[in-house]
Order: sequence, then structure tokens, then C-alpha cells
Amino acid sequence: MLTYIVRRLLIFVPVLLGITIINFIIVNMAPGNPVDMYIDPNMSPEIIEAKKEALGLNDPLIVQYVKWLGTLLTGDLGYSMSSYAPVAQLVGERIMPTVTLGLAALVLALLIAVPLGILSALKQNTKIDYFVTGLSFIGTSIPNFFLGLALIYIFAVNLGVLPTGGMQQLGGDGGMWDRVRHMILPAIVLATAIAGRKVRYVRASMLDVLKQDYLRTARSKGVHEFWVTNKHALRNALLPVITVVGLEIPILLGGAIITEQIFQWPGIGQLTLQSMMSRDYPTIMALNLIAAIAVLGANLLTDILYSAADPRIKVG
Amino acid sequence: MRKHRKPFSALLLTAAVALTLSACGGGGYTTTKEASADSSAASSAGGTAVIGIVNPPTTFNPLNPNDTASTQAISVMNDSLSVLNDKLEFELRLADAIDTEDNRTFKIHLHDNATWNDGTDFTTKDVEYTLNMIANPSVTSNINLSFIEGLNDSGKLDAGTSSISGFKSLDDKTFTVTTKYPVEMTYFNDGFSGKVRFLPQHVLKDTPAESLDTSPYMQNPTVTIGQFSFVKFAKDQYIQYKANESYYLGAPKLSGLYLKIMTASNLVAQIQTGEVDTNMDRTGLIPVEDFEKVSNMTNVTSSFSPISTPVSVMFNVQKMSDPKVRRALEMAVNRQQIVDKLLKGNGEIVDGMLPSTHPFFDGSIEPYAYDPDGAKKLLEEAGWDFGQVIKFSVPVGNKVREQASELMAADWKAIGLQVEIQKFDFPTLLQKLVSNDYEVGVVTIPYTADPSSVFNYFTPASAMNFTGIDDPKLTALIEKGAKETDTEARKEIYNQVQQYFHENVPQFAMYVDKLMIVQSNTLKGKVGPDALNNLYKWEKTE
Repeated sequence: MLTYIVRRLLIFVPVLLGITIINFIIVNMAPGNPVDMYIDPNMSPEIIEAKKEALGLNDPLIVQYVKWLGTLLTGDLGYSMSSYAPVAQLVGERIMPTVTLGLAALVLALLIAVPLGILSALKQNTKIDYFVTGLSFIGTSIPNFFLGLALIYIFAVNLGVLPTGGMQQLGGDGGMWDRVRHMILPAIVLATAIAGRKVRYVRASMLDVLKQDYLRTARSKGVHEFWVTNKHALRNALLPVITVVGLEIPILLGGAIITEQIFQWPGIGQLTLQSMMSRDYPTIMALNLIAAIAVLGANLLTDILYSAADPRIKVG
Repeated sequence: MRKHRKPFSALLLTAAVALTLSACGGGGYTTTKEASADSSAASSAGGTAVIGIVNPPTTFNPLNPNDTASTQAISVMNDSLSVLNDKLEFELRLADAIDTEDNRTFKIHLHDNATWNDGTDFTTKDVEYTLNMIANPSVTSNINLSFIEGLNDSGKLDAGTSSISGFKSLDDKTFTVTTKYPVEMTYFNDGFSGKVRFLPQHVLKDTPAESLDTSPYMQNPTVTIGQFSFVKFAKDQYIQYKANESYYLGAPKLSGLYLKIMTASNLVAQIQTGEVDTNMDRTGLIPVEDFEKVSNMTNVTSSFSPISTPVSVMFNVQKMSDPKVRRALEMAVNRQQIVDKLLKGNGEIVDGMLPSTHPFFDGSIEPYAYDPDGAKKLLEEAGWDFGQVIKFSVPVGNKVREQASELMAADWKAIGLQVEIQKFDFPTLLQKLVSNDYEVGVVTIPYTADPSSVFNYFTPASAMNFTGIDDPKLTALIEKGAKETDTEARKEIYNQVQQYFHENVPQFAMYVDKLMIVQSNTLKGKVGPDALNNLYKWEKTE
């Protein structure tokens, strides 16, 4: 197991390198550059040229990439080309909000999806089943921005029980409960979509398992139906679900751009959008790198969890 | 997608001077020591106000505020020598007198009570330090002081020189600035007194110029000289300020102030819930479709800003070279319909770069009326090939601007033109404009009190010559306008420039939309374009 993990981690290095090269090319292919954003009729072409030179934008792409990689290897992500803040600081400040919101949404989604999926499978082709699958359809298809605005309208504007957005009250010393209150609505929005997708996975997977012989054996041995379902069947049914949940993690870490924007959640998604709009190359590259690491890490984690959940699967 | 963003350097708030001031030399704004003492004694009564802003600021670096929101966030905590009011006139601030005899040497006296918020006296040393940094080739700044003696055409010091010959300190509170050529007071203040905000020399003097851009001070500017002091920037959420108790015009009545960042739809919701007291001028836009909803809210009063910016249709004159064709394209557009239907009547129609409220606006020019038949005839006269496809570049992000562009394209198609709309994100569009890689494009260009702020876009010397125009007649007029020292004579020259625009149409205004200003019933004080000048007078009642 340990050698497997080490081997996988070693494969990460060339893969990451490849990803950064492709990203670097794509980012630089986009029209416009950070210096063009200094728009002022009194800017002379000389200042613009000098600025491009100073930022190294006139170097050949390969030179720019090697320079970027060089500073990265010393642990430095460089400085933003729009705010001149250290990129590590910009990204660092946003990671925790994104992770917290993402995890909260994921947990909430699973708390909804797993019981509903089981219920739906057990009551296959009944009104309950139709209701649950219908619900999951709505959850998947309702646009984030619409649900977000609707929730703000109902809970913040009309009922006034929850804040309209942000991560904490102004001034920010409202404590833990204040943060939770701010997280409720965005977490619900994100969880709705995830739960919608997962209910159907759990249901389908559960249906497969419920037909298996070993469950009949368990029943005939006198195991209570509750344990048959929730212990013997569920463990096997959740195996494929682990994979798809693993795939959600990088999506969440990449930043739920729309949800974060609607709720002014100060996460990675907002920063991504801002840095793209200002062609802030160092920040975009850092964000891409984090997303790549998240995807690779989540895949590895999925594989490990998989073998932990199913002793028949041996990694290595 | 992203909120409407105007990443142009926001000159409007940072610039210009009252024409009246140029005549009476500093008598327009008086603050006495007695008045300051009185309000200091009253101190902060308490209460905090919240201003809603849609576009997030990117930097607090006063030397390089490269978007409107940043300029606004900086001006809360950093004063300039003078500030622009909502009549596009000037009020003195850090300076209590700006005088000139010959329109070349400007003598400026700093406010006697002006101190940094840490108690250090504000002196000409700070001015000198700041100007030297702006002029230092290794410091990034979008402030171009090239009209000051001793600086090159890029507004920087040449290699080997370390001080600006056009700056002289007379004593701790008095200095002179000499320009290369005589300039009118508005021009001087637009480019200097209203534009430059200062860095504390005593805090930054040991920071090498090369690392000033990335200095921690720029992220956390606690030592400033303005109405409020910086507390913290909760990224993407809000900027928190506290009252500057030692503010030289008197301590603010509020104890704290927030600029709260949010989407436009959320802005309306938070106005309704009372979480936001007012919206920021130009960067806290309330969507047109919400005007009615907001004006019906009982907890706020709403009005329209006297200042708004024309949305321009730009022609690449190298590709759309016939003035007749360009004029025909303007005549073919039903601008009244855009104002009536899209803006629900909240807008005006002008021809050129300036709105009718601008002091240099030439009111004698009658905008071309909607005349599709006349337009078609003009095109036929010009020998336009109706099979040719016009590529029309439109920036995304501002819904009204996008819809108006679509209406316009429909009007052009209605007279038989072939039009292809191409939508771009703003950086891409900008790149196309800068490199003249377009045919017809849409962009909003902010103006300041000095008309050169917009007309300088139309000279070959500018790196931002979007239209690619290079007409010696126009260039000469614009240069003459910049250098004329008599206000009335300048107006006459800029009238000729506007006449040139009317005849040759390198650009025309699609519409000028009125911006809604909201004020909660619990907030007392001036809001709108003048808000940031008057924050220290704001009061909050419960």
C-alpha cells in the first residue's frame, strides 16, 4: 500500500509539469495582457513597453515559463500582476473558505443523497421512488444562480433570518455561529446539485446489490431487515459512489465560481474570475496548479478509500 | 459572468479644478483652524455606514490606482491637494492655496493642520518623496506627470537624474511646481492637484524604489492622510475603515465605514434589508430593471446622479475610412428607442465624448436625428458595398450596453447592411482596440473635468488611440486645447474639436445613462458623486 502511494506520488511530478506547460500556453494565448489593462490616454507607448519589459512579458514564452518554474521551485508563486500582492498570500487567504464551504456542501449532500437513494431503491417503482427521483432531477437541473437568488430572496430579504452573503458579519468578530449562519445558504445551493446527482447513483447501485444472493442468505439466517439493508447491502452499494464522490472534490476545490459570486463567498472561484479578467498570469497559474493537485490528490484518495471499503480490491 | 467593470483609470474623482478657483486663486474653499478645532472637540459620535460596491478594488497603491473602485477605496483614506465635486468643480483639500502668475509656476501651500493619522506632520518632504517615486522608472504608476519640467515624455526621470527640476520646496508647507509650457488651471489640477495622492515619506523612505510596488504598505496602508483610516480588507467581502480622529478638516462624525463588495442583484437586496446605506457612484450600479423596485422602497430615497458617462461607438478609421459612411451608421441608429425602451427614459442622447453636464460640452451641436432613409442615401452616395460584412465588437459584462449594441446592429441591418456582432470579454476587446484590430467597437471612456482626458485618446501620440485616427488638423486642435491658458479660449478650441467629431464621426455616443443613487433614511449626508468628499460629515441615526 505504502509503495503504491509513493509510486503514485512520483507519477504526479511529470503529470503536473505537463499540466503547467499546457496551462501556461493556453493562458498566454488569450488575447490581452496585464499591461493593456493600464488604460489611460496619457500612457505613452514607451511606458507600456517599459512595463512589459519589466514584467518579462516580451520574453519568448519558453523563457517566461522557465522563469516561472524556477521561482516556483524555490517555493515562490510570484507577485500578482494586477494588485502586486504575493500570489501565495492571495491564494492562501481563499483556500480555507473554499475548502470549508466545499466540505460542508459535500457532507450535507451525502446526508441527503444516501438515505434518499436507499429509500428510493427499497421502494422501487412506488410513488416514493418517483417522488425521490423527481426531486433529484430538480436538484440537478435547477441553476445555481437561480436557486441562490431565490434563497436570498426568501430567507434573507423576506424572512430576514439569514444573511444575504459574505462569510462573516462586517468587522468579522461574530464567532463560530456567525460563520455557520453565513454558510447555510451557499452550502444548500451547492449541496442541492451534488445531492441530485448522487441520489441516482446510490439508488442504482443499491438496486444492483439488493438482487444479490448473499442478502437472501443473510435474511434466511435471521438477520434483521434493517441490518441487511444498512450493513450488508449498503457497504457494497457505496463502492461506486465513493468514486463519483471523489470526482466532486476537485470540482468543489476548483471553486464554485457562480455560487461564490452570488454569496460573496471569498473563495478560490472569485479569485479565479478576477485574475482571468485582469489577465493576471501568475495568479491564474497558481490557481491552475492547485486545481491540478486537487484532481490528482482526489483520485489517489478515491483509490485508497476504494481498497479500504472493499477488501477484494488490492492496490499496489 | 462578471459584473460590469470599467478598468479604465478612474480619473473622474481624482481630477480637475474649479474654473472659478483659477480666477480667484484659492478662495473657493476655506477651512479655518477654529472650525477644525470645533469639530475635533465634538469627535466621533459613533455609528457606522455601509457603501455597497459591485466592482472589487484591486489595489491600495495610491501611485497606481488602475481601476475606478481602487481609486475610490484609496480616496476614503488618502486626500489629494484638491478634490472634484459633483459639478465638476474643484474644492481645495490638502492644499489651502494654489496660485499661479504665469500659468507655468504653481505655488501650493499645504493645509497647516494636515498631519498623517499617526500624528506626523504632513510636509513638502512627503510631496517630494511621492513625486520622486511616481517619476522613478522602476516604480509602476499610471499617473503621468510628463507636463512637469524635468520629466521625460513618459513622465519619468531620465537615467542619471534623481530629482525633478520642476519641483521646489520653499518651506515645510509651501512648494512650487513648474510645467514645461503654460497650462490652464483646470489642466494643472486635472493632471496634478486632483490626481496625486501621497505616500508617507517617514514610513517608506527606507524602501528601495524597486520594491515599492510590492511593499507590504500597499496591502496594509495604515498610515494615511484622509477622512478615514484603513483597518482591514476582508478579500471579496468588505474594506473596513475607522474614523481618522486627527483629520485636518475635523474628525468624522461616524466611527467607522465599510465598502461592502457584492453582486448587483445582491446590492438591491441589501438596500432593501437595510444592510447597505448607499451605493457607490459608478462602481455600485443599480440595474435599470430594478429602478422601479428601488424607488418604491420605503426605507431609502433614490435620485439620479448628475454625472454619467457616454457609451461610445468607436470606428477604426483605417478600415471605416469614409466619414460619410460613419455618419450614415450614426444616423441609422434609433437612439431615442434605446433611451426610451432600454433605459426606460433615464438617459440622454449626445453626439460626442462629453455628456451635456460637462462644462466643456458644446451645446450648439444638434445630435444627428434617427434617419434610416437619409443614412441609406448617404451610404449609396459614398459607394458603400452593401455586401460587405461589418464586424461589430461588443464587450460583455454590462447587460444594458450589450442589449443596446444588439438594437443598434438591428437598426443597421434594417437599412440593408451586413453586420456581424462579435462579443468579447473586456481584456480581449481592449487588446483589439489598442491594436486597432476591429472595425466598429463599443467602449465606455470616463472623462474628468478637463476635456483633454477624453480627447487625448484621438492623437497618434497616445498608446490608446483606439480609432487609429491621425488627422493633423485634429491633432493640432487637441494640442492647442491642452496648451491654451485662457479658459474661454480653451472652450472655443474644444468646441471646434467637438464640431470635428460631429462632422467626421470617428466616434459617436450610443447613449448616456443616468445612474441611480440610493440613500437610506438613517444616513444623513451627501451621497452620489460627491459622497467620497463628504464622508467626514456623514451621520448615522438609528
